[in-house]
Amino acid sequence: MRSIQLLALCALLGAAAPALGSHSDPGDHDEHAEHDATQVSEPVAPTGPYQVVIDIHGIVCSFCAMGAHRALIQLEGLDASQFTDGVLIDIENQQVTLAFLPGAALPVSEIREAVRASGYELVDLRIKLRGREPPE
Amino acid sequence: MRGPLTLLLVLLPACAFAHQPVQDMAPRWSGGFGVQVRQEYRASDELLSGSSEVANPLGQMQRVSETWLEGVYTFQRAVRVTAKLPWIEQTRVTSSGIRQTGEGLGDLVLAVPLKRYWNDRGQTGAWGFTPNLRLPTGSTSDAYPVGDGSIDFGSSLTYARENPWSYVYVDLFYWINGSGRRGINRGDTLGLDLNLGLHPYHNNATNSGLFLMWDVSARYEGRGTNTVGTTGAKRVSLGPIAVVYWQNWMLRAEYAWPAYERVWDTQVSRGSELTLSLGAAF
Repeated sequence: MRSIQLLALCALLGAAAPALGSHSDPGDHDEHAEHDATQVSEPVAPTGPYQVVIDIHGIVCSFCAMGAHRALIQLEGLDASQFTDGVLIDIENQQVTLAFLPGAALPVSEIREAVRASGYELVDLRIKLRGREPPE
Repeated sequence: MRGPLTLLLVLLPACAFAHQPVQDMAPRWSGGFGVQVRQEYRASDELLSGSSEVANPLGQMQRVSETWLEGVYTFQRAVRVTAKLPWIEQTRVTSSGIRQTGEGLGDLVLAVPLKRYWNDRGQTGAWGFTPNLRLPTGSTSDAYPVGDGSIDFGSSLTYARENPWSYVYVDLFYWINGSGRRGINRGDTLGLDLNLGLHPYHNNATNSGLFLMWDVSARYEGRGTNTVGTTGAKRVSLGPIAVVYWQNWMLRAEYAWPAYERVWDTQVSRGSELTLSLGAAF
């Protein structure tokens, strides 16, 4: 049974760069709002550039991680000037960071499909979003 | 990945690597494909009787160079097809002291790897079952024929597991070798390959890094015949493997040392083997 959780963090409205520095602690709830992704009906559209961090079980295979990269760079709204075409895959922590352009909608379903298509299941997937207040 | 990547019959261009996967962990996405060129080289002038080295007054030897072109296509995550075709250049000196050569395309190997991947926190892996078919596309006309003229069937069971720091690959396989032309009738082959590896370096920004592995390969090759004598042996080889990857490219180098070898009757040893491969997935 796939369970999907959305962890939306919105500490810095409109901030671009700081997202990566403290992204890896899913238990850090002091600054982060947590949401079930299945309950997010509308994509979030931050006004500034933002990054999304996704935890994906099993994405430890370095050579085939490029499959995930290949699928994720097709997402609309990525800031290709960051990372490699807007995507950074951290196999040690099994996290993928996506850099989005200001105002770009957060394509939750497209992310889920891209991860699935690259050979990984969305088991216990979480997203961290920075750039605006979390949706109510 | 694996490897990437054994064959033999002392005086035949058999393909020990024939069963092995092309890029085991990738491409695991529908519509993905990969290509790989693998160069294998082995040579020996060590004459064995059973497992003992004996005098070799006629200078019996063998030297085999095989360049494999391999491709893989993933229809869907669980089903892929692979094709492998070698170009072979080989020389031997027989028990009569006659020097023989052979050169040309060898036997085509087709396979349908069926995979069941699993992903877990901190690791990924796959079980696999692969039916193989080796077609007699290689010529048997040379003095040292690059083909055997038979249709052969193989199957393998594989298990692979990888986490950010280590890699394990196990392959148990069996080949049923048919009766070919010119008296070539190789025995069936049972084999077990084990790769244990470390992943000491990875750069997330460039998706590049290094694997260091240790390979253990065991073979039981039934007694058979080729154009000049007996084939088949029991063998165990050991050796290091290094894999360097950068994004979708992978370079693999491996060395196999014959730790144990016991041939049927008297044959030239398989010798040590050096393999280099370069592949990419798209």
